[in-house]
Amino acid sequence: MRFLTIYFLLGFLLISGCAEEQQPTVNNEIVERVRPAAQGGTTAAYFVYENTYPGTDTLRVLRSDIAEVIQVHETYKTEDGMMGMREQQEIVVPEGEVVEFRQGGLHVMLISLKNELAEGDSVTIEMKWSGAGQVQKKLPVQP
Amino acid sequence: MVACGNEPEVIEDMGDASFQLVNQDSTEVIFPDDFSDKYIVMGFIYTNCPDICSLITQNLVKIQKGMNYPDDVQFVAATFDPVRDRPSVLKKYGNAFKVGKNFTFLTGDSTEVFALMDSARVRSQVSMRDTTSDGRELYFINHSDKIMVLNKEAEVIFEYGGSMPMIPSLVIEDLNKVR
Ligand SMILES: [Cu+2]
Repeated sequence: MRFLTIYFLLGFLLISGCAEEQQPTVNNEIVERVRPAAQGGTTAAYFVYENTYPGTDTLRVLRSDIAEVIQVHETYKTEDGMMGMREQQEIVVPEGEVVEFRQGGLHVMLISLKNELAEGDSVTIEMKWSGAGQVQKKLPVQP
Repeated sequence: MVACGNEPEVIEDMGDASFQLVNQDSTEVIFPDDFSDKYIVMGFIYTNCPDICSLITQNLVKIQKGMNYPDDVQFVAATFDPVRDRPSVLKKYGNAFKVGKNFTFLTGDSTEVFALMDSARVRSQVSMRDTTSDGRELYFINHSDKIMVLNKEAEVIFEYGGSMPMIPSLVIEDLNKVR
């Protein structure tokens, strides 16, 4: 399993608050989880990451053993009113701020799942931040 | 969205249409004819879309549950990605959502599927194509976000933004006015 490197500079949308206007489906609390999905299928992970590192931090690498491919996506509305997802290649979080991966907004895509994910399972996502270093997030699988 | 009189306004008449599709068990389904004695609550999805499309599928599941699994309402999730969303894929996807009876997924030949999408005025367009460093081809689709309700005459009488959290209660309220 390789690391997928994140390298662009697009960070400003990520601070919670700025992104909300574009995301009409967002108004509930984030339930930290990974959705159930079939083997070979695609799912999303939702969670909050708080930057407790003293300084702005940048996400460099994401990986998970469960998926062949892992990407950060943003759900957005196109100019002609369709819904779509686009890859978000840099996540920058100012000191003391949070980045929210939530339904209808930023989310971590787990693509080409190696195994079925059923309720009761759990998924570990490993992040490597410039400042904070390795961080693991363990999430339950639930709808 | 909600009509004021007794009869809701007809948005689109699909009664003359006939689409030859297959369900998650690879059984042929003629839409809408095969559901002619039922109301149809229908959403449009592709399975490689865990964010917005999951909300649409989840909303269909919630509507069915909230109505206590009525016999006179058919639930349908039709894919606009027929190349990847073969019946077996839809079957597994449905299992992950624990869909019950009277809940059908639809796919088929691209020509028929996109004729259905045109008729239902559902737009879709491949957006992001990506080849990963290990040579894997990925693509995603921009698409209309829609759930609609058809009456027993296969007339579209209600339409909604499919993924929004308030949709299940709205659909149930609207359906209960006309059923
Ligand atoms: Cu996505």
